[in-house]
Amino acid sequence: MFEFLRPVFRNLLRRPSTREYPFAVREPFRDARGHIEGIDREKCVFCGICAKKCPADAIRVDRQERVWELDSFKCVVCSVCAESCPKKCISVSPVHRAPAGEKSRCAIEGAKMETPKKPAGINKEACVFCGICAKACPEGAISVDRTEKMWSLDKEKCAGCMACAEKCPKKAIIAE
Amino acid sequence: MLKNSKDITIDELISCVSNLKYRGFRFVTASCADNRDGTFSLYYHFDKQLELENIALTVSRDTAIPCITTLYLCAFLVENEMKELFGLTIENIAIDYEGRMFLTEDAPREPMTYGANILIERKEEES
Amino acid sequence: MEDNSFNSLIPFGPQHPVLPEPIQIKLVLEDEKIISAEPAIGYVHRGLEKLAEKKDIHQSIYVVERICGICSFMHALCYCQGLEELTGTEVPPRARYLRTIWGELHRTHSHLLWLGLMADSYGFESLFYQCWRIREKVLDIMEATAGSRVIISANILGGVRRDIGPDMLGHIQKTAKEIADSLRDIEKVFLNDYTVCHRTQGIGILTKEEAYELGAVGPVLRASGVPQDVRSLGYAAYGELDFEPATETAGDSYARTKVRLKELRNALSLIIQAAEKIPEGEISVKLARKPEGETVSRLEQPRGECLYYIKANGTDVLSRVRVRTPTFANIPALLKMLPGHQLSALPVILLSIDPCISCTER
Repeated sequence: MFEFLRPVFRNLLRRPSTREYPFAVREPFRDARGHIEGIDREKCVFCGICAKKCPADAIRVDRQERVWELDSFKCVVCSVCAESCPKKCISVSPVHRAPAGEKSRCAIEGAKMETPKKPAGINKEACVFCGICAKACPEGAISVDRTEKMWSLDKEKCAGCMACAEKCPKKAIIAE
Repeated sequence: MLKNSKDITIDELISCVSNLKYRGFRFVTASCADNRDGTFSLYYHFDKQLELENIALTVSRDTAIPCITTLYLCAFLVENEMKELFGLTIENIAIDYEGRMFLTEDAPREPMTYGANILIERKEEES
Repeated sequence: MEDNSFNSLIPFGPQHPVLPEPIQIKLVLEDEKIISAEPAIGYVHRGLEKLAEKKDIHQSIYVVERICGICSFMHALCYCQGLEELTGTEVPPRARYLRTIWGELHRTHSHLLWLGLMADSYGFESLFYQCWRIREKVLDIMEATAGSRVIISANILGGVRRDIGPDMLGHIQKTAKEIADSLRDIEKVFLNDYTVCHRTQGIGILTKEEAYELGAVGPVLRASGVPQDVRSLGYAAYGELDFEPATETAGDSYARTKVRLKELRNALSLIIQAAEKIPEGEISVKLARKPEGETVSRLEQPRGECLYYIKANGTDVLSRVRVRTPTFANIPALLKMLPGHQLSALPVILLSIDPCISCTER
């Protein structure tokens, strides 16, 4: 009948199961998705794939101005951007963001580089039509036919990340 | 086309549903989709021991669709939903919200139709 | 004798201490007795079905996950299974097992949450905290394995995003056993405590015929004696694991509590089984082709059967995603349970269907 007495007495003898937050803070789990910290400005090529994949429309990328901008209050921390980044330059921190009084954004300007490159074609002499570039392309813009010795690029789809040129074993991809 | 689906006309709906009820089927729900040519596909899903049976109908916006709440009372929520979100004409629903189940007075009309033209807009920055 | 009773109309909600989410129930009362009830919903309608038509198929996973916080994984799973069927994609076995593990973890945390809220509905605050303390262990596992506590975003089309290593699987099994042990205490309170039984037994009775005809689903249907559980269809890895739908026959709030307690035990045993049997291999594959056609995908959420109707047109954007959530199907049953009861029994009856209003309105 008095079924709850047992847990009551046990709880009296036990240490509390809560922490004295904010004085005691739990270590974050290693792979937790806390918040998106930002990008590595040296590595980022401003291809905009992260902005395209973001389900919450929280990222804005300006290729010409070389600006990467995250609206942290729109971000749902799904970390799709970090996973889809061809350069793996978006970092996710396991620490959750603290509550904030006002909205803020995280804007990062890229390191100055020469005008952004886009793949234009291939060096027909060097290319072996292995198809590695097509596999590396995060947007599926390249198609390679090994038997027909055909290489084609869908310029509409191409985001200009140059992942193809990096992966090419023969360095046969020509940039614009 | 869905699996286990039967195309019927609007006049057969009530007899078809009562037949399913007689055979001991449970009403699951109804689904509606805009075909983008002025017609709507309507599915009524029924279930018996995890076996799904579907009735398929093609209707236009003005077709008077008979209400099945006389047979399955639990259909009133979904019929209200279709009436409200797609602007279908369903008459004599047992509990009729008259277009005020989900939507408020200033909400867009028939938002789930293709013609409602609902867009995702970026909010201007508040500085 | 003079009849002094009179009818009054009372709006219950949309804000009420026992309601985690807004729903209004318009009650006609004769003195304290409920004569009839009518629901008024629409306070949290967000148009997510429309949004899923605007985003591409991969982004929509994160949209449908946000239909409901508590069963978010199941929503994503139902959506992914539908699209995998439309594209003819075979999900690797390891991914199916991982989905089962996360699915059952979700069921565990959802039922523990519900038990707490149920205790809260009859004012048993300390029992509420006992339940939520146990739940915290499940949430910790989810954060350690998938990265987030509740909306874990573990599903992608064609598999899952993260793998669970052997150490973690061992830890999950150990924790599942611990939870099963600590359940013993609260189980006794829910089933044998004098006051609790008084508040739940014979309250909100739904007979087998009524439950079936009103289209009730999940624990509400099973507590009335219909052994219907969509997991018996064997989606994900359920076909290879050993489980039986938990049923009761009384059909009252007490029976519904009992069914959920049994399901909790089932879920923990399924987690342990799946962690033992999990095969090695890939965790995701690419979609075989673009989706085209129509399909209905169903699965068993903690609250009952969830149905997705998906219509695709061969592009990356779907033409229709229709979601029928379990609470949507349980509302007619709720209206049937209420008449004849005292107003004070309403919170218990309402909570006994495990209402999830954001699910209902999408």
